[in-house]
Amino acid sequence: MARPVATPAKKRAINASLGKMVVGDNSTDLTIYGLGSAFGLVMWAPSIQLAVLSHIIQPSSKGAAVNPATPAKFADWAIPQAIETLLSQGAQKDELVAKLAGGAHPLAAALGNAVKQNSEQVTALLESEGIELVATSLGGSVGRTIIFHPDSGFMDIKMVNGIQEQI
Amino acid sequence: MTVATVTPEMETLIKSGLNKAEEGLSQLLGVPAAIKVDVMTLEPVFDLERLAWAPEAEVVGVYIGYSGDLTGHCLLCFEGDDAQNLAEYMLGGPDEPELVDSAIMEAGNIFVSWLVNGLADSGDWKIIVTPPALARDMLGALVNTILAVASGTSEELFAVCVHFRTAIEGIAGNLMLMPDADSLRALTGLGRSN
Repeated sequence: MARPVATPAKKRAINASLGKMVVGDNSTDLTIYGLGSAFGLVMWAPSIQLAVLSHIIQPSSKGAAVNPATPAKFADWAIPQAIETLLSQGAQKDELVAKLAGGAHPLAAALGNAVKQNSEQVTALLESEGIELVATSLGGSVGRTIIFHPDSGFMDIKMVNGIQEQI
Repeated sequence: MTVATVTPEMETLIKSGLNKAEEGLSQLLGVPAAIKVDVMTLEPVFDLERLAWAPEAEVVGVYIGYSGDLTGHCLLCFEGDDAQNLAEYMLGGPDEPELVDSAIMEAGNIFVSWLVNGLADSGDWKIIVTPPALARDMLGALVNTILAVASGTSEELFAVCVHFRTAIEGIAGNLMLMPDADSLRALTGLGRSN
């Protein structure tokens, strides 16, 4: 008689819509569907397999107060909050790592392309907080769907035409 | 300001714009386009997952911005083979990819420009449009990119979403009109922009 094969429990997907921030443990996948010129920034604490995914629109709020409805709209709002969230759950700051995806420019002809400048500003903000950016998938002319797995620390990326990568 | 539904004033305005777009498209194609609206809704675009169309849907999109008495962004999207069907109808059959894209962009330009002219005539507004840009991508990525620009000036953005069919078999489309806050107020009849 064949032995029953245990199927892994399906993980719950939590989507970060534009300007939002979501938190997930190893029972979840953190997602952004159809990420264009905005950014998906993951900050991950491996020891507790906990991650925060922020759907960032621009790097700098230029000093504006945080809007609770869109706490990840700007990187300088999102990064300190993500760190605080992870530390409050038991993470150590020196273990935190970041992964950054997005910044495509599918409509560059009409709306311009500031991806390099924006991604550099996000990277500089991470550095100023002492967070290591360990992997990126940035730019290009098509958008991405990203799926981050807090249990493994990998991010799966899907683009149109069946293109896939993992960072 | 939060507007949750399409007001009668807005529906009348948008339909007058679509009548004009139908006229332009009919002239371009040489046959009556006979646009029929299946669905018209008003959606908060900061919650993409609530949109009627899946953000991962692969589309051919024509983007045109507009400014003046009404300011905002317009995205005309075709799913599946509809964009190809439209181009082949215009070109008389299959053709080089560059020509296909050029034809789709021209059709999108006519559609949106005439639609905006219809709105301008109905509201007695002066509106100018940008040149068109074409992209083949996920719907969400295109909207996401537009919002990254638009959200710099507005915290609360809505899209008038219209799914329409034409009388020509295999050619249907989705229109997303994303006005800024003042323009949305004008379109809903809650106040004039000018």
